[in-house]
Amino acid sequence: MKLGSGTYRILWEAHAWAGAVASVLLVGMFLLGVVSLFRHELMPWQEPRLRTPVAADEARALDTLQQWLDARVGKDGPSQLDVDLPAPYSPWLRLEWKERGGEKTAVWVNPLSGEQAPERSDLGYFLFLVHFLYPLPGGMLIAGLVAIVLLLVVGTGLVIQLGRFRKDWVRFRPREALRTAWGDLHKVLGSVGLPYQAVIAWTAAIICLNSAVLQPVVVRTAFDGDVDAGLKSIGYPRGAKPSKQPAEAPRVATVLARAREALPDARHYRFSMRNLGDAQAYVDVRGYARQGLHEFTTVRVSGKGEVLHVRQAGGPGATARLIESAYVLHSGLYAGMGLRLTYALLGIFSALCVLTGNLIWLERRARDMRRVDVLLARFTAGGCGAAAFALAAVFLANQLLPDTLTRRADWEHTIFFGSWCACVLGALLFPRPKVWSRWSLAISGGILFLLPWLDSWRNARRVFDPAGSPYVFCVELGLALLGVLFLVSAWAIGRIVPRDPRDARAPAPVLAHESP
Amino acid sequence: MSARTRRQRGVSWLLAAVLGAPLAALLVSVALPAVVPASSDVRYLVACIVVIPLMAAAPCMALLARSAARAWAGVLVASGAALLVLWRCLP
Repeated sequence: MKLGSGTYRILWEAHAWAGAVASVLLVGMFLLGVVSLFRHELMPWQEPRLRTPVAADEARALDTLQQWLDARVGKDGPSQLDVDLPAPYSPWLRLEWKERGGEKTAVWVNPLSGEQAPERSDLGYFLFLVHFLYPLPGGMLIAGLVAIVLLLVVGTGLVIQLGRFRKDWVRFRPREALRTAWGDLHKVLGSVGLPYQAVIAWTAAIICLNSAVLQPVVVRTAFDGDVDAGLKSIGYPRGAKPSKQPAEAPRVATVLARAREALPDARHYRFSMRNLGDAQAYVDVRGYARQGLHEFTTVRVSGKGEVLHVRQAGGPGATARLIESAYVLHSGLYAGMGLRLTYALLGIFSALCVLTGNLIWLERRARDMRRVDVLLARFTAGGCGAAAFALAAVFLANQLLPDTLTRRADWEHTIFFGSWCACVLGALLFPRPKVWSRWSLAISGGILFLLPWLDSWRNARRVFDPAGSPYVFCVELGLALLGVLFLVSAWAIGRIVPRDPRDARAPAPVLAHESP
Repeated sequence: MSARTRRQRGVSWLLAAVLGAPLAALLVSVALPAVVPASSDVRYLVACIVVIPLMAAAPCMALLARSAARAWAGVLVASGAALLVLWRCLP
């Protein structure tokens, strides 16, 4: 299919403008998405006490948890509590609850000794939330809109490339003019990652828009305002309200046994306890049951040990199955580590694709920059560098902030957002945004590359030690590779030669990379 | 038509495509379940399925309109109808 020149130009402009505007967030979202894929495996890195295995079986862990609950429930303990059971990557119990003032508290409990330690960092989970822009006001809605823009960019890119795929798949001309080389790389990365980007954009839009807009409003338009019916339709019915009758803490071993009887194939990983200390107490036992694109299970068990509700993987209705499939597809949960590594590689390709697209756009407009172009160029250059810089800064903060610091996790969050904003503002104010962006990438790469050595020095251990924790070894390898990638990207951007000022007002030529 | 007038019409057109059309599409998506004659779960499903194609297609339709005024008229008619439905459903 051959497009008319007018249609081609409109599609190219739409593709370029939408990509350039969204690139500020897209590069960061792709990078954070890559990190989020391994957020569980990151736990021993962010929380060094989890690196040592604990010789406690499940019965012992449940016994320790029961003692913790019996000592607090009905006294000064919380009425809501979430407990993550020990897993290969985190051999301690993780407990989280809300204080009376609404502030969240999280602690680690050693399943063998019962030793309790405050949570040092929630780095992996925080980066997972930032991937969806969840901590920002209206963030999920913005993330949904960015996903739709990405879908538009992928769609226009597909139409532009129709009939050229076979030729552009393997064409890379690094010795040609700079824009041609960037264009080739952009098309190779875009062609390879197109199905992945389309799936990620579509599923992200469903996840984010459903959470931010659809659920709150559709409960009025589709369920006539019946919130209970809405929640029941996705398999998470509302629990009973407290009866004000005191009761003992639930027997966690019984609760887990009931959950296993109800769903024997699921891996139950979390207790969500509600109305603790009340006769209407209940526990939602969350689980994973890999059934294609359906994954999440819940068994609700009362404080007395009766099964109240079972949510099979996928949920009860078509909508629940659609939303869950979107999430599972987006997160790569439907297969093993190999798929997640592929997702990570394609995520990095996608971030690079956005970056190269941005460079083409800047190169093309460099001849006649209006004020809005200059501003957008600075903003996008700053935004792309800022994502890498904030990622490096938060990992460095995780290493260097003192363990005794009050609200240490909040400090990490502040450093992440602070460095992101400072980097974007710096690009807006610094006379040469491209240099700013290059140095942001170079510094980030340097920090990430050196982090394994810093961690090994702080924890008095060998760096890249395959005999130690396998999770720490893999994280070290991942950080060093990401660091090298950022350093190489900074070097490649540095190869952009300044344009001859005599050409500054020359008309924009026919796109070099579109010539046969 | 002067260059200034053309540029002004361009900005209005662009605003209709970038802001007005996606917002109208979102409003239509959340209002649609109220008028679909089906069970509650299916109505929710309809909203989930139509929201993305509508939001992706709406800016394209605004850009393909014959004029900025027509683009805005489409945005306003769709938004108005959706708001009317939502006004009847929301407390």
